[in-house]
Amino acid sequence: MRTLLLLVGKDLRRKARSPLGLLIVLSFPVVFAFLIALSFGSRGDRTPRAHLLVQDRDGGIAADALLSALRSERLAELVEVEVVGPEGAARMEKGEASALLRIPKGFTQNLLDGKPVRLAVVRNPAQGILPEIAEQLARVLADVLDAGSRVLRGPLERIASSTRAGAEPPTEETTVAVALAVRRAFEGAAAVLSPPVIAFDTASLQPQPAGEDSGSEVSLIFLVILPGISVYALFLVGDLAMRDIIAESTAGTLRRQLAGPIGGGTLVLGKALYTAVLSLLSLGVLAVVGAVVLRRGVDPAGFLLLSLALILAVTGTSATIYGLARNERRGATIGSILYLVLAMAGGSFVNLEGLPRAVRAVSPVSPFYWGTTGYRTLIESAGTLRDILPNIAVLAGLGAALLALGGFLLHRAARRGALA
Amino acid sequence: MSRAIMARVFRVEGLVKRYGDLRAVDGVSFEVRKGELYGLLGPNGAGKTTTMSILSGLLEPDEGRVFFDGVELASDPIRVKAQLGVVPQETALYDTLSARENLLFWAGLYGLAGADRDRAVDRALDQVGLTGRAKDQVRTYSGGMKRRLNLALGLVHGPRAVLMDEPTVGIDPQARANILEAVRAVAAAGTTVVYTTHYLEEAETLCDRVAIIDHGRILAEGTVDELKRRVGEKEILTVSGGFEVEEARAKLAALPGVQVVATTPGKIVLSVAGAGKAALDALAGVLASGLDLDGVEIQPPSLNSVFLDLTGRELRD
Repeated sequence: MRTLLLLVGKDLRRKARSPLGLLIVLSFPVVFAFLIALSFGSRGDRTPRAHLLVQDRDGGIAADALLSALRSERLAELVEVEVVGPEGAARMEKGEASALLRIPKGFTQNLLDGKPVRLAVVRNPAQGILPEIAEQLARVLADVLDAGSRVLRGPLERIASSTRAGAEPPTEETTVAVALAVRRAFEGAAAVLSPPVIAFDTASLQPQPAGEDSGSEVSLIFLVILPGISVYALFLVGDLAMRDIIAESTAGTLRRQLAGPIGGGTLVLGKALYTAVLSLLSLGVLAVVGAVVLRRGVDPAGFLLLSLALILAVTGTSATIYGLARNERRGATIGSILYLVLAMAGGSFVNLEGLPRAVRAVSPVSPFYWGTTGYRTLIESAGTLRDILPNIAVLAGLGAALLALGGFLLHRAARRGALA
Repeated sequence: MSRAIMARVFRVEGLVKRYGDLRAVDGVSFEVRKGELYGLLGPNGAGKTTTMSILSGLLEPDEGRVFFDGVELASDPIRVKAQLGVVPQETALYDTLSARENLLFWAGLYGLAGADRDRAVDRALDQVGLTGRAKDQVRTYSGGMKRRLNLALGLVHGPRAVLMDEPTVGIDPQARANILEAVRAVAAAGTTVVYTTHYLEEAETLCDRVAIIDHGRILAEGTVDELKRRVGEKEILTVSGGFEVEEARAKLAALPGVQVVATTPGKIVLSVAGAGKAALDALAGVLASGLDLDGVEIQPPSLNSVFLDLTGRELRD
């Protein structure tokens, strides 16, 4: 035990003297979550949505089509559309929405006549990326209308003539002819036509000072982002620590230790313990940051046991990677790719609901899944130890198995002189 | 050389280590006595470091056994290694720690604690002249200082025997002299030292006994004087000039008592059996051979001439 403490103490002292890599990894989840929070702003939803005001001065079928598309079920996840009157500008000035889309009078008729029309978008820069989302959605739909108006130019002219004031309603023959023309136009049209018929004018309001509730909005984003990113960062910390065994091998200090009165197993165990201690310290830092930012209490027993199980998984995974790699660069490359894939599949970067079904099906294979969902259960749903027992069991089991495998591989390498 | 030479400490029997088809160590056997400074002299790739790695328990031999004080290394490696100090060829140090912190760690690893450990560290720092820089991080040290600390790490726990693998490679003459002085002091204090080198003068001036090793085999072993006596009845003549090597070889090999040891373009090394008149006769024969000569050098007996005689190559080749 004394030797193990000596080994861990030496490694921690070295890390304290050269902490840059660790600090970067530790700051990563906080900075990442903070940037996401700044980008999205928030209205308090779990998934922030852009709030788009639409001032429809046209009221024609093209404007209706645009509004209908913006309100479709699929886009509803991204944007909340509210039709407003002239008060839209005033509401934008108050910072009540992400953007205001103005559909000008005569939009439909001009579109049918093939004349250029202009849509105006006023953005609210205080809401980060949300106005951009709203504008881009409107642009995409406008492009669809634009392309459609060009492709269907002939039929539209016939429809336009029948929509003018005092015009005769279309006969059945006219309707059939228009339908056939639409079909032919679709079959023969080029995919992209230019210049666009519909143009956009974009304006931004002056940034408004943050409201009193901006702190809680940021907290909500942290709530969504922080657990998963922290789990990812913790695996990076583990990788950084376990990589040291290969770095020591390269520097010759491992060889020197192996020439001393300690076995290869003790050395590997020492490095695993160092990895665990460094992960624990890192988790402590992240927990403090999380507590300060999120201001939420969690079940302490659940948090502690989940953290210990996660640290076991982190240590085991990194030991296995470096037991197989036996080369610092190879190990770092394998680790980086593997952790990225596992984190993506495990829902550390995005909510599991946002993942494709095929990826969701394999998520439980990733230890990141069990770590991330465990912390989310504790933090978001105020879950208890009982709620996360499966997470703890899976992480602890997986960690123990991988630690045994990684320890065996590293010990074998040390015994065969491959690490020396 | 006044140290009392006592019972054997190391006994090495028939070591073999293969890497694929290469036999890096090919049947090496030797003994080292207590308090002795034993040298393994050979060129790079001779098998010195592999032999040292086996002695220090880092490598398992494919064949053969190593005994330290009667205990077989393979049967109780931890016990044996606890009594050894190792000074590797590369400077294996923690750059971000100070010299004192490095020494404290290694002393602790060998079981020293408390005041004993502090005293051992102070003694080791003093031994290599680093007391004044003990608290500085190693990364601020010069190459020579790192080498001295590298040596101190192998001595800090007061080992009964120290394995030093070319501890003076790649350093300036001043730092080299400091290290050699420290090695002499260690041996003078009664610590057994096994020392590998490819520097002839180090082996000649430092070692009580020397084993000449090449291609994984020990070719000769003994004190420097004993080894020199092996070629004592021979003279080594190095003949250089603008001659055709094959023509010169044929002419010179025909001289009485002369054996061609080695040839390189423009140079032939001869071994002449018998000293004195035989060497003069050979010299006269060389001069009368009609070869285009630039010079003839007669070497006094040295470890280099021993190596040359044994291998047909000069050690510095």
